[in-house]
Amino acid sequence: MNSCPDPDALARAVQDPETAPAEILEHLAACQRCRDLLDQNEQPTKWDWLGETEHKHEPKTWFLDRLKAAVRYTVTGPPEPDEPGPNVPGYAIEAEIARGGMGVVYRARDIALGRTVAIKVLRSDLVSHPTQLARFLGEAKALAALSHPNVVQLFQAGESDGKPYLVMEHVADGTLRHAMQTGSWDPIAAAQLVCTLADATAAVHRIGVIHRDLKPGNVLMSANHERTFAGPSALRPKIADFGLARFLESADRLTRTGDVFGTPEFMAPEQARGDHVVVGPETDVWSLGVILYEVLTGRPPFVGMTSIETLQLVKLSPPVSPELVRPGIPPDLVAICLKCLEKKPTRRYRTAESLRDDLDRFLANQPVLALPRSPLGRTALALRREPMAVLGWLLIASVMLAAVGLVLWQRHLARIAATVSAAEIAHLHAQHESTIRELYAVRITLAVRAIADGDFMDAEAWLALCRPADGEPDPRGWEWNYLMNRLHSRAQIELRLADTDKHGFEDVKLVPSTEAFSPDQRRRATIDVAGRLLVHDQDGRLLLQLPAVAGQMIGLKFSKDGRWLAVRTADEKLVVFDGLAP
Amino acid sequence: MSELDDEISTSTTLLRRVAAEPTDDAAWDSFVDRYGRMIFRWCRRWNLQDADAEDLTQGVLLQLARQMRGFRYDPDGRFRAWLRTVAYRAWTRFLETRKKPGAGTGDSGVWRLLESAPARDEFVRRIEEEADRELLERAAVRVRARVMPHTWEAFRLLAVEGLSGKETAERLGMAVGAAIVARSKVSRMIREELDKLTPAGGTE
Repeated sequence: MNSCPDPDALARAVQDPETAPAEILEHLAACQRCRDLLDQNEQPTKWDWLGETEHKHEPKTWFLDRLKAAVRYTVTGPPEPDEPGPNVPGYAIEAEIARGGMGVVYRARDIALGRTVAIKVLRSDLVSHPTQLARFLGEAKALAALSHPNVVQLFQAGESDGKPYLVMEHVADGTLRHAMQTGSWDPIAAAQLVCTLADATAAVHRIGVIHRDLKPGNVLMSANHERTFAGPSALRPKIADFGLARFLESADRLTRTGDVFGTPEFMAPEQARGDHVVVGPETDVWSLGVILYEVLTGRPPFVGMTSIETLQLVKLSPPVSPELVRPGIPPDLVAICLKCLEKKPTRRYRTAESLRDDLDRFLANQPVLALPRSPLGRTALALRREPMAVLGWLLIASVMLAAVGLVLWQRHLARIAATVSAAEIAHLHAQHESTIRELYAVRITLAVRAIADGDFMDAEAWLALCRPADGEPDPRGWEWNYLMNRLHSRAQIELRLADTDKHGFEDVKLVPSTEAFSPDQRRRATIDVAGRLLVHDQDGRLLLQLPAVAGQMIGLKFSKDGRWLAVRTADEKLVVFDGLAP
Repeated sequence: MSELDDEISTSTTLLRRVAAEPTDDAAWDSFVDRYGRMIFRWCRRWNLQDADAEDLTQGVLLQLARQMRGFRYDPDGRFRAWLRTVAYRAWTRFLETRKKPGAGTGDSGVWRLLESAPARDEFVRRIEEEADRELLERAAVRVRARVMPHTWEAFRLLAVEGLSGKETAERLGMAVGAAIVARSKVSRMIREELDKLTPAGGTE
């Protein structure tokens, strides 16, 4: 036998078998030792896996196809409806109790202490960023240190499989939403309830946490304690989910930019505007006011036909005073409620404590801050509450418009009087109709005010909202037609230049021009050498010719929707014309 | 399984694809073809009838997909540990949902066996083994494309089919030594590919 080749030569041969020296190959065929040497670095590998295997039982093709469809649905469909309970050390998950946009709530047993708890597992995307997680855990730590009989007690917070969770007191007896359905509340019980909630809210505000989504659904009711207020239900209210709304807010803002988060009926105007910077204690005060309003009257103060409409009402329209919806509410309590519902946060109670204290004063029959007793104080209050109205009316130059306003106001008062006297006997249908009429009167008032303010687009929106839905009675009278005509007439409306951005004329300030095209390119507006304004359609037909308006025209711009044509004048005014859209 | 899925990207395994991109429909289809078949065959070895085997396969596979979707693989973490956890959770979750009222019962004897810890451990092991098998096949596909056909054949007959060097050499009309060297070369290349396919570097 030849002597064995050295290992390097062997390795080279393996590297490149095509050119391996014949004597090495011959040697390998004969020499077991060298073959072993080649294999010695080889870990056992199941090469037989690469072979053909006959399987006796194969699944049917149609079964695999069905399975593929099911898997596709599972991985792309809606989130898992029956995902396993969270794995939280020390707790045994017993059942799922609720499921919402924020996550899933489970009933669980504290294994060591034997007590029942609720575990809320948040959607994993809510607190995904490390800084968010740190904030979540920090806030949870502060909340866990707080013990208040009317705040759902937080025991623990953590993270399980990438999902943040909260272990908290288990409150089993429904929510305020259910408790409100059991019957009407007398004003004293309502005041006691909201006083209790305000005290709880104040305690949480003191540790720097704002709720942001206070509503009857977030107030849990507990029967495990003695009766604490004289409502129709002998349950103790406990506020849940402090601080959580912010995480939902920021997560949703990442995915659905432009949307507002929350429950429109209970959202404060600054939230409805998406003005997240100014969300503060006053935001929760607003929500407490909404709860008070609803407990007193049986309906939230702002209810539109759609969410968008509700948001509009929250932002723009003053609430119908609760005693008009349900007679017999003491004026002091009405004033407290309306003070919570001021559009401007600074005009509300600045803290939940001051709301609580004022409710305490009301309950103790003392004068409340919300309703000064002196005539001067009351006048100041009225002026402060509706300064825009006062100013708006003063600014109406047209006697005609003033007359319309007066008529409307009287009609409004008359309707309100009718509503009140009929309230006790009216059945559902009549109530519904009167609600529509009430809304209509409010909208007309707002449209008049908007026209006076030059906010013709708002005015148009308000008038559009007056149109009845299918099958609804039509509340519109001659005043609606009048205002529509006025809005759509070619009468010019002057605007302050500073206000132009919100109407979609942003560039007119910046770009002097003597020509503008409508967004659909079908109309062309020009200023000719004589200083006249001309509008032509695409076929060159003259649609409008106006002599020079006050001052020299130096800029032209159609609004984004093409409805309006704004002309900038040399004396820094903006004159808006109907843009003659077909 | 010798039909190497050439149509599937060979750059990584199905499990890694669905772990990284849970909405990759094509990867999930291949996942069903491979792991669904595997689970079905395994069920049949428990002497479950076709209908029961289909129920179990569907239940377990859907749970597996859910777990993979819900319990995301962290690319920095250990893939093997992730896979084991996911398989474990899928199996226990599947048994839990079966216990719900209204779920089918099947043959109580077999089901009692299936609910035992050894059955669960074997399920997890089977999933891991299938993952290893897939990995090996991927590596083999990549190597096969890079070597001469007779080099591959020498490897296949010697290593996979288990023929002797003499038989192999006769079939392929090559020297015995050349066949042996070819086998060594290919197996070494496949192991290199395996290392590349498991970027975490751990022994998968």
